[in-house]
Amino acid sequence: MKIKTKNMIQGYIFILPIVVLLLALSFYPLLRTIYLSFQNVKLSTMNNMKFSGLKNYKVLFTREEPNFFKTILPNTIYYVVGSVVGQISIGFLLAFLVNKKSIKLRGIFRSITILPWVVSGIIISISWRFMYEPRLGILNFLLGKLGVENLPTWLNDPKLVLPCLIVANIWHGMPFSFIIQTSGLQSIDEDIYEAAVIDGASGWQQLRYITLPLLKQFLVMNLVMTSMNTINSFDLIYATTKGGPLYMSEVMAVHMYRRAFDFGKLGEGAAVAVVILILNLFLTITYLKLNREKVSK
Amino acid sequence: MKKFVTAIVLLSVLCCTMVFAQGQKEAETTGPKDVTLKVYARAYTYQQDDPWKNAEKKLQDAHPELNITFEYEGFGWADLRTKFLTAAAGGEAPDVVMTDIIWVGEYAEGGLIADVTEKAESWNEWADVAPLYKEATKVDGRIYGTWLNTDVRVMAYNKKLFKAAGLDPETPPKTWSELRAAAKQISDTLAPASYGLGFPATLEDETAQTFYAYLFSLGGKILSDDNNQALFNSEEGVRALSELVDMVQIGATPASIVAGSSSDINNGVFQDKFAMSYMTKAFGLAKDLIPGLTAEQYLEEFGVATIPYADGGSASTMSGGYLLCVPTGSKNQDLAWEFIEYAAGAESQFGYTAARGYVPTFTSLMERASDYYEIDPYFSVILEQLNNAHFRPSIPQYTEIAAEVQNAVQAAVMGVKTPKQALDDAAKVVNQILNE
Repeated sequence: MKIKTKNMIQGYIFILPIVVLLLALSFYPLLRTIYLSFQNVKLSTMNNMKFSGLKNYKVLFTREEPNFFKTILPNTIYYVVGSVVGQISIGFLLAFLVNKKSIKLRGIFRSITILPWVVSGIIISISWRFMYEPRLGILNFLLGKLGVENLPTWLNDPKLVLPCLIVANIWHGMPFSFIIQTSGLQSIDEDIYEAAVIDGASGWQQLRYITLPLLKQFLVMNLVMTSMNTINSFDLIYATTKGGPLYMSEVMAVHMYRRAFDFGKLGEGAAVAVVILILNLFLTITYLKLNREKVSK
Repeated sequence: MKKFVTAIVLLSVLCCTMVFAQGQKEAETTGPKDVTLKVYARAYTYQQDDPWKNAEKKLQDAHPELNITFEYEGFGWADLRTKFLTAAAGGEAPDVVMTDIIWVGEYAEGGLIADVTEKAESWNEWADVAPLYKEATKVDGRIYGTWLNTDVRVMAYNKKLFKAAGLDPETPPKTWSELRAAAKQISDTLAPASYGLGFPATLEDETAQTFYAYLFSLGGKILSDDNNQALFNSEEGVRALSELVDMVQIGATPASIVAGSSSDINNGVFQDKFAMSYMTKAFGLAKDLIPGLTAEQYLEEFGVATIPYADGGSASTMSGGYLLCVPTGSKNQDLAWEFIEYAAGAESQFGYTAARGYVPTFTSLMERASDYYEIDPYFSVILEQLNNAHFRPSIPQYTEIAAEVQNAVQAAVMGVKTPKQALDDAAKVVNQILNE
């Protein structure tokens, strides 16, 4: 046997345990979910599945209330776009400011900024629910002190519920963007900025022509991961509003959980999960493709 | 020769060791056999000795031949169902599962809990279970468990707020029109600090149960007798929901009841936020919120009355509670049922219901009302409500049906739909669910 072949076999043997682990923990559940989405299966009758073809998908796309295309999908897009834009822009802004050498105690600022990220989604939802509470919450208490008469009802208001949840989610998820952007900013060589200053570049020009282009790989990675996290996350919304009022905060992940576990319709829940998977894949491929095209240009 | 002797000695030692080991093995097999009983229940049930600790002792005493290890897992309401369903599907079912009465149909249909008809009927305490509650344990005429406790909703009210609004705290409203007038007077006088009536319009079953109590008061029904058709959108249903919506529209109830949770609203009665609200175990809740509250103080500051009924209608309330069931996946079904007999027997039920402010299901305990009065001064009101109690349909689709009713109540309270439109829309979906 040639040495090259021998080494190759050895290599495969070494990676075999992790491949098996990946297959068991990632691909099996994925394939099982796809399989379940074509079955008539309830949580209470899991051992008694019947093939139902596309019925679960038909039910998902044709249900009148909450309607997938009129309510669930728009809610999801609104929530994801709002959360991602907020998290990345605020994360970048904070990372940019804290990265300035003129700022003292940067380590402490960084630690404080990261704090919300280590708190669990359920605890965050309980905290924000109390803040938004119209009768006892701190927000209306402060607005009342300022003399506001018609106090907002926050999570009770169908028009305000998603913006309220987006704010809570930005607060929770922003530190992740902050960490990514900080590491990106620290990877940029200081010499480039010094050369730019010598050439007479202003602060804005440095940001526009040095920082942002060199940070792009980090931003794209941040965009992909934050989008996926937001599409898949359900704990914050479920524990805060359970998708209400009137389905106005029911995003895809919450819809999936409610169908599969609240109502025990595992097949329908699996169908929603497959749609979420497709959306994730579509977004990731699009982002990466756009990034690659721009890099090649 | 030397080698021969050595071999004989070694052989003897080996034989002795084997004989000794065998003897020890026999001693082990003749000793108590190890058995593990796993229990899934609501987390709060573990706070006192009844039902579990006392039952544990009795079961162990009755079986000296067994060395029983008890494993308990405690859950919140929704998690208990999800955890059990997933554990059962994965072949890891516990031996005893605490089951909300509305889940029994789903579990029985899925073959997840055992038919215990023969065991229950041969149990010497079964005859003592009140007939209404015996019936509620059945699916298609077969028994699937026995009651740990039941509960009924009553109206708890805050006497201080009644007085502050110029109302007599000793004459709480009995009918809807009296309720409307009293609640409006309280809100007009005390809002926004306090409101007259609090009821949930959230995505919780308590929302649906408030509506059902009103519906039954008018003689309406949730579903047809064969559970094949929605009837809650009848004329009675529309009147019932309109009555609730009116309370919000006249300002007797704040619009914020569509958010938060029903427990926030119930707590509000004991925190001077709401003058009246519908709840179970009012005294227990008051004690949790007001440390050191005595029965005398409770009588002085708070009242408990029957839920106001429709003018010209009848008193009605909703009853719920939990059964203890044996999962079909249990490896020790007979022992598990025996454990349930101890845990849900009259003696244990008295200890448990008295400690937590719940209602017993044994006739003999209902007759020992004076023992309960010592613990809850308003127990007579609770007991009286048992005569007006109704159950929710125990069918597999109930959770999904209830979600539609909850949404209908929420939409009507928020003014997005009229009560009729909201109930008709919900009924349309419920009929689809029932006919799937």
